[in-house]
Amino acid sequence: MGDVISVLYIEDEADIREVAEFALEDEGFVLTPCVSGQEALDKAEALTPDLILLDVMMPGMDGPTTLSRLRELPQLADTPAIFMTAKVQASEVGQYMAMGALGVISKPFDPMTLADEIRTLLE
Amino acid sequence: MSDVKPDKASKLRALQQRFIKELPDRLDVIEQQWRTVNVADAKNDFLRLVHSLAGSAGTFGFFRLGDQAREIEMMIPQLSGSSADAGSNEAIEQGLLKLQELAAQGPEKVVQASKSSVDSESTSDNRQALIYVLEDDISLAEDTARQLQHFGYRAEVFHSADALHAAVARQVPDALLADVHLPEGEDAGPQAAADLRKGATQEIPVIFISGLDSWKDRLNAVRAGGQSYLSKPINFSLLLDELEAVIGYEHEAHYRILVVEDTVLLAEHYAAVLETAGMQTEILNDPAKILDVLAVYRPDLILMDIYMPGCTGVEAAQVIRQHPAYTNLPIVYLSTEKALEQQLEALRVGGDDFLQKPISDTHLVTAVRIRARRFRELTALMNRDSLTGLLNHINLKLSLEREVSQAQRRCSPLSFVMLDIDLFKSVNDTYGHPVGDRVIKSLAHLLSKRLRKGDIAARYGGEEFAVILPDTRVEDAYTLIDDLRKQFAAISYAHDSEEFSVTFSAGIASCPPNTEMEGLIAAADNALYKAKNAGRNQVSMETDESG
Repeated sequence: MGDVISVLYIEDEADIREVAEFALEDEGFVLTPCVSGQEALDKAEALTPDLILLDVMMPGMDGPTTLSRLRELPQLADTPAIFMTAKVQASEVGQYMAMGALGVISKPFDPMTLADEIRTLLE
Repeated sequence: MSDVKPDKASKLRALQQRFIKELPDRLDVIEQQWRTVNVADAKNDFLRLVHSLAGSAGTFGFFRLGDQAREIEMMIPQLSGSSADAGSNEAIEQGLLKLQELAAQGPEKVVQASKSSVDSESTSDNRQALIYVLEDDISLAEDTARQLQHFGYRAEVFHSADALHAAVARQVPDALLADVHLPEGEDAGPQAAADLRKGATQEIPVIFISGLDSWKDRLNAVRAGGQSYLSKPINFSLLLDELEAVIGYEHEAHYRILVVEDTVLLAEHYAAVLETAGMQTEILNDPAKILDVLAVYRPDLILMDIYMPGCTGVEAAQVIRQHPAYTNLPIVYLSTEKALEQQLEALRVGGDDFLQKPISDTHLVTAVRIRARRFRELTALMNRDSLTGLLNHINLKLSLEREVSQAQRRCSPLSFVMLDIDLFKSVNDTYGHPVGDRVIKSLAHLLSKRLRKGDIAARYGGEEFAVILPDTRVEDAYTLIDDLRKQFAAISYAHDSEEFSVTFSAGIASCPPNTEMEGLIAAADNALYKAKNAGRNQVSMETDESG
């Protein structure tokens, strides 16, 4: 399965966070979960994740804003990022891609295939 | 890679359970937000709540609820905030009601434990359905419970609505049997059932029983969501039929649908839609392979594109129809063809229905489900005994032949039982044929409830039954059948205020030593004869020195 993939994971919704955590943790991912963009920014200073996985719509700081703030940190400037969102419209996907996202995973996601989906995007 | 580890599945199941439990509260909060949506920033909070529901419901198996939340979400930006916005308000109100309904229906997909963990709990296939009995007449309640237990149900008795409520909070039953009249009031039964429905996250089928066959009682029962209504004294074979009907839903699920469509993406989309609705699918992109797939997959319906490379769907249907075994198999075409002439031509040569692309998911699911169900029902009618629903004589022999050769290939034992109701003629003569039929049906019920998955029961003819027990040594078959014998003898039948019970005798043979189907049947028949001669109401095994 290769090396462990470390993920900075930002999602405000507790139950979704939990599903994603256990869906990924047995599959060779190690998650640093954050409940908000602000928490991610606080934690990120000390982190060098292989991937940033984040929700688009969050109270306070939304996903795109969070990502652009994270990108200001030198060690995260080029880290692959994947958005997760319930609303996938072509125009939006384009906008996220333009921000340097690797891809968009649409919600609801299937916990059984989430790991594969992410791995495919990372390849 | 996507294999589910058992602990993972159980964790996911736990999360799903929690989601289900919290869902009503969540919807309440959304409702509250909606009521104050015109106040200041409330619109954003409302939007966020609906949005997150749209994103998460599907993950927990509530696909339609998620879609519905999405629809509401899309309407929110159009809210101007002024009360002049009656149209959008109305639509959102409707949508919120729909959410409640969908939540009450429970998840469309229940997270299952992985295959391996199912195999390890062999008892899970035999899980006994749990029936709650709400009845204030204590002796009638006990009697009902006892009869239900004879037929392989778990039954628990409650004498008041309060006790029932408490029990449902602990464990939700597979069905509720409720008296209409209780000491609490003359429609206390329906009242209790209606209350349960309000609080429940999943549907509990209810069967009402009543001493009075009045319009008012029946109406109350219907309004409380009763699936069925029986008058006292309870006719148990009728009750068993009703119970089978209300909780036997798993028989009708999992229609197998073969999707023949050369465009891979479209095929996958149709398959996903049908699977979401609880069906199984197999995709075939090359119509030339259709006969091979049919033989192996045995679908209940073929969903076929009309325009494919190599041959058209209509031609493929004609080839299928050349085979007598597939004369009744429903074929439903999918096409963008609009011309009525072409559509009729397609139906004339062997299609059953014509669906026009693009088609809504609901339309597709409904059209497919109706036809697949009809096909299953017809097949069952042809293969099964009409009184008991067990396999008929011809199909028993086909099954036995298959099972015997499989047992030999796998070098595993197989037992075969012939079973005959004792002195059945005198039951008919004393109580009449309708009562005789009831006795036969009750034995059939007992067999189908008490046998294990994989066992096959058939009505061999008249009052004679046959049972195939794969992977079962003759000694184990003896234990199983002798248990059934005791249970059957314990069932009491009421007729004109008289009670009576009936027994059966059985003979068991096995392979090895038998290697041929005919020899196996003859040996079981001999053993049955021996049991009858030895005084009936007993089970005997074939003996080596017979001859």
